[in-house]
Amino acid sequence: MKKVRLFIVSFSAFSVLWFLYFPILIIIWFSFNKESVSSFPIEHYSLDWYVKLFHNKSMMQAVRISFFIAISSTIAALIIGIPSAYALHKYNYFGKIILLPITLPGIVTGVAMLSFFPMLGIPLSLTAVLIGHTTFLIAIMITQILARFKKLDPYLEMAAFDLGASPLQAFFKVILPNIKTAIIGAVLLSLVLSMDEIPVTFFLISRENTLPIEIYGMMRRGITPEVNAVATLVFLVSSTAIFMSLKFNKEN
Amino acid sequence: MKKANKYLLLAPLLLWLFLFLVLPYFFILTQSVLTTDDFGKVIYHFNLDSYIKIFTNPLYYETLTRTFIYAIIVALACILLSLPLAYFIAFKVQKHKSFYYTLIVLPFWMSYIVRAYAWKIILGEQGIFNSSLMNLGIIDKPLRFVLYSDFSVILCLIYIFLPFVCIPIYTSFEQISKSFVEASKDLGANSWKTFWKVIFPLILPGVISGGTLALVLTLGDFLAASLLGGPNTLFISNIVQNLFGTSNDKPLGSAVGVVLLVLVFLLLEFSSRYEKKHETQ
Amino acid sequence: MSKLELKAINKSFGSSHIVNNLDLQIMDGEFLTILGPSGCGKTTTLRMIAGFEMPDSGKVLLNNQDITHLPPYKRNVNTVFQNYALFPHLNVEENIAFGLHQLKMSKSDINRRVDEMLELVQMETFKTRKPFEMSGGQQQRVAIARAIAPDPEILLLDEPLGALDLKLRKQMQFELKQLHKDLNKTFVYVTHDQEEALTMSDRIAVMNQGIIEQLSDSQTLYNHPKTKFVAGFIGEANLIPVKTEDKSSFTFEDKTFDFNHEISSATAVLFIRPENVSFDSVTNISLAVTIEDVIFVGNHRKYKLVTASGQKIIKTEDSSVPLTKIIGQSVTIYLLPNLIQIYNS
Repeated sequence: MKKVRLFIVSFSAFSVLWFLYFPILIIIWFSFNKESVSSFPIEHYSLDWYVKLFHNKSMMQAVRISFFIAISSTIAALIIGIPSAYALHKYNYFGKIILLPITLPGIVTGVAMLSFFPMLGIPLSLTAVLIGHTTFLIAIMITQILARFKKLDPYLEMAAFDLGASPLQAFFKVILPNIKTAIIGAVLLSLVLSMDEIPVTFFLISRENTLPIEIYGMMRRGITPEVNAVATLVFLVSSTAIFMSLKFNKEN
Repeated sequence: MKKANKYLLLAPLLLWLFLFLVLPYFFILTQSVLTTDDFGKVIYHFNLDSYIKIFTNPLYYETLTRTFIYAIIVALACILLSLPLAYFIAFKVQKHKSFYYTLIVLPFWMSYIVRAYAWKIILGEQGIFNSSLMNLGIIDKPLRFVLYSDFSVILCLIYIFLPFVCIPIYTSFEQISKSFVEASKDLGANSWKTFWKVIFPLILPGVISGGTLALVLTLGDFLAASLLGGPNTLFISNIVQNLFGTSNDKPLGSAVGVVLLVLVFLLLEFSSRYEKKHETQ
Repeated sequence: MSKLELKAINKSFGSSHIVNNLDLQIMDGEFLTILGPSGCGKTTTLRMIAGFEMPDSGKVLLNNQDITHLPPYKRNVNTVFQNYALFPHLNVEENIAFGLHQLKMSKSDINRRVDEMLELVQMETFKTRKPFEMSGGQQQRVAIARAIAPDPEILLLDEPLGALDLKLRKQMQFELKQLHKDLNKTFVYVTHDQEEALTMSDRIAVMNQGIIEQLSDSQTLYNHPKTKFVAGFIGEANLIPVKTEDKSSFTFEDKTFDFNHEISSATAVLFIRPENVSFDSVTNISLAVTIEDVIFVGNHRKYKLVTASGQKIIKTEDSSVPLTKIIGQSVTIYLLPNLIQIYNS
């Protein structure tokens, strides 16, 4: 009886895992399909679509723009996030309002910013996108770094003061090095989230697309196999980034 | 730490959030009670027309209800699929636990777009699903309803949100100490009774947390419908998308957005009240 | 007839043979402790009685009935766990009632029994508290009440006092002993703390590397330990290497003494408790020593003695005895033969 139960549970569990990964494997498989129509089974294999991808000007442009936005907004979020997390840790208060950008539906945040930014003199543009990304990345940064602060030995800072360091010195020489891994993990996470963001970005762009928006456009127009190639590459890059991020977190 | 320093450190954050988060939300609220002129420009004429429209025009309230029902379906399906997987990894795996956990987490980090797109390929007329069924002789014409319909959207959403739900459920399974199960059996309850009386109540907070997340995410989603939906597929967020896009009725769009926000707030509030009530730590 | 019997029990985990051909008979109503160091197999043995592990071979008999392969929920045996294992989602009342629900008792009977148990462990005012709202000691009492409520044939206790501070532990030892007397139930207790075992138990089974080295009451265990391990594990012991050529004498530092024993080996060990080393000429088994140090330990004093060949011996005596020796003095010590044991080295 026990063995039967174990079998049912294992079978269900692995079925769900298969359900999670099957579509991804399909995409990777089809990215090597020579035909442009995604019919099954695959007759011929080739790397054509990967090559076509690199010649697709607007796609490459979108990649560049996404990188730019991701890196800039991550840096901005770091600059605002680290001191804020530190202050929140000391102050022992955590307003739920900081989490709003990630708990509330992106579409509402997106249309809210769309409506209000013109009032601040910010037109629909990459600047708007950058601000939008930074806003929710700050939430990510603060939650990740604050969690790490909580695990930090409170006596470390006291020891630094005791040995003559000023608060600023203590921060840079003692605190920061000890939360290094959390920062790296948060940065990787932020880069990936920014490169994948659609709802907020959708409402704030004008003419230049980020990568996910570009792909979204391509998908709406139909199934072009270049998308498979893009998707596979995005998958490879994301998983590498996430593996690294998780590895960093484990070494904590 | 001196109070002044604290506020100095927090000032950039507070300023940023105020300008780019609080004010926009506040503005949306304001915009929802305004109206537009004939050219679509917003004019400052205070009225509740938008809200009245939402609650009287079936297009809006039916879509809202339908989206909510779909959200419940997605949440339930995600919970049902998560349970065996989370249970398996928490209880039946000794070594390599972190490997399996990484497997659940990995899709969570992959591009939404990419994961939605896969279903286009699978469910298409010449896609794997139909081709396989035809090759096996089960059907002789491709099933058309599996793609570009409400069905494909719901399926896609279940697929995308599954990791979101599985992770909190797994976490709550992990927190169940082996000794609770042993104590329960020691006191006379067999495996079945032990599951319902001890394990299930202890994972319920994780289930509620994950389920609420799936609900909130589905309510706010417009991408799946626009990629995999049919001509009649309409989610409440698509309405918002249209009203701020081609239909250009910002006050109405803001009102729908506000209604959505209120709904989400209520769900999150219920969920957190439940968690507080069933505190075990 | 014994209440519980373990017959030829063997249990291995991988390549480790944890319990080795174990035989044990536990009498009805007794407080039996299984005592031993970490890894000796005591907890595994307890878990086989409870039903959480199944022996590889051998039998477990309760009231002469074979329960070896019964799952835990079919055995009328309850456990008090080391980490209490109180269900976090249930309050005190519900925790205690848990086992009673499985017995299909009526609601009023359950309520009555729960109140009875709360009174027994003096936790009446904690009825609606949740585990996370209570201290370790309080959780401990509830765990005990929960295990006793269904009136099991045997109560198993797996190092229940390990996580408590010293004062609380001593108090709980006293209360557990009192509980045992009041309930007249068979208790099987597992611990590594020999003092705890000596004070609480009717009989103690000393376990080492999967086997029971000795099973007796506290006094016998203390005064006549059967093996070198038991001698060293219980209380303080002098273990002096000696030579034995035959079974009627032993030799130490060229002096041979008549003494009947069972070991015949070039390497043997003589055992005597520090308090049984005498300065008075009470026997002809004597050794010449020098006093290295005298230490005051409150209610007794300790002499650190050393023989010509460098063998260290400890003697203790009550502080009320007048101190007549000084450090550096050469004295003769006498060992009472009925309190000596000789073991294989």
